[in-house]
Amino acid sequence: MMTNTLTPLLKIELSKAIKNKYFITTLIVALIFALLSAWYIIDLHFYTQSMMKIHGTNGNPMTPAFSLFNHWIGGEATSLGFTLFFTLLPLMAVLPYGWSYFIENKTGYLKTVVTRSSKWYYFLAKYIATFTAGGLVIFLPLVINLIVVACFIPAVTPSTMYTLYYSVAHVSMWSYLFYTYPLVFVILYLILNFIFGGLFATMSLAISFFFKNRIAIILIPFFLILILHYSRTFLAYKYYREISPLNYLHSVSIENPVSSWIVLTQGLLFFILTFGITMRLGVKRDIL
Amino acid sequence: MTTIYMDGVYKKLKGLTVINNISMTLTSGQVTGFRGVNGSGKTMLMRLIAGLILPTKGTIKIDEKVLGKEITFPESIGILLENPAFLDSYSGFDNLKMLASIRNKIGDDQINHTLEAVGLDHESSRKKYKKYSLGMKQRLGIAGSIMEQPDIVILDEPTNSLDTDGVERVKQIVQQEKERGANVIIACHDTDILDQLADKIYYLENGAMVQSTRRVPQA
Repeated sequence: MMTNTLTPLLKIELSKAIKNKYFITTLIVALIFALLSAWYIIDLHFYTQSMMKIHGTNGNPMTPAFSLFNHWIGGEATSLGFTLFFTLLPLMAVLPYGWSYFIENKTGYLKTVVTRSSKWYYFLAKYIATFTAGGLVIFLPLVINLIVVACFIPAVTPSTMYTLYYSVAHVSMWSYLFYTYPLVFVILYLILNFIFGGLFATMSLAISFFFKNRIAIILIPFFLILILHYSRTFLAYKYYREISPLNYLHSVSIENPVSSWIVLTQGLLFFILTFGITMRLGVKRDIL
Repeated sequence: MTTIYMDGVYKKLKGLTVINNISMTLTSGQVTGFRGVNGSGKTMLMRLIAGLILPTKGTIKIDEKVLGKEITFPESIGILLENPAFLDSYSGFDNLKMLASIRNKIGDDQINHTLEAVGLDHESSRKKYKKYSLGMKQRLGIAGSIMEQPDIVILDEPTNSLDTDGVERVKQIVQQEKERGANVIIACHDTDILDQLADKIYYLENGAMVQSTRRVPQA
């Protein structure tokens, strides 16, 4: 029995995670933020272009300065859409499915499922589905924003002549790709957002083992990330590297350059903690 | 044929002994009843047999396999514990189909047949679960526990919220499951129903078994 119930369980969990009203609603809200950014940035781009025509730039069109790669939501840091999206990202990631185990345990649905499979398979499928739903709800609006912005602003390879326009610090993570293979750079950021969206969602799953309140389960990961975000004022400035996911999930170095080691360490730490807690406590604990 | 063997089983939760030294053997083709006041340990004992909780002390074996060591859950079990729980946004049929797809042992025909047996016709079984009445939810819970014809059937208060027709159907279902050779375990407050259905009744008090009675076959 142990060998053949994971696949169907995973199919069920993924279907439940994506075909639910919370996933759809959160996706719509995230899309609105992403499109708000696109609207603002496209409008700003055409305004800037028209101003340059009027006032002139000594015959230099400065084409690489106004590229898709510093105008998509992950490359700009000026619009309301950007601020809302990257500030509320940990909360949006949790909303689609992070609460699922808590509800299934509370209602007793968990019992009818685990007795048909195993605790290990149930929690593994739940972890993967929660991760996927959290990742997708962040990933999809970013992709749509990129496509919409690409319809209006050319994908010119950024030039080191205009670093001031990009705010991608030369010591920042993957910066060499930004000036050489910018599309690869953007794809890497999309993957990074998918992974961290998924990890934030699984934080909620792990927290479900310690709290008995649905609101707390949804909000605690958000507050934990906010604590990390604000702790940068006394941690990050010591080393001059970004430690807040809210600041390193986009390519604009708002305060400090991003270190790939810090991103990797935090990602691994989030994964080890969330996966470890879920699988260890999930399998070990009684189902009452 | 499935035999459940319990030997000196204790369960402590938060320092409180909820199951106290229970030993019994439950054989297939028999209906075993658990009787006792609220909090006497009936549901806890069912959870132990289902493998949802593990004993603090003692052993539970299902067909010679130690629960919690050699197997996590009984290999073929259907449960209805306390309140039935399904997904609100899916129909009754879709809920059962989803659960059945985990083991992939039965098809749509068997699910429909079981739904009819519990008194949920085609139309009502296609309604969303959130629109079900308490009685319909209970019927669906019973259907979920028996649809795959498991070796062990655990029914905790199966007649809750049911009308007369529902209660009669439960009696028929339990009888059919017994004849099929399942090991049926029931907890029920209704003493008449338990007396009619159970071959053996265990009386529980504060988690301990205080008495057991065996039904005398009527001539």
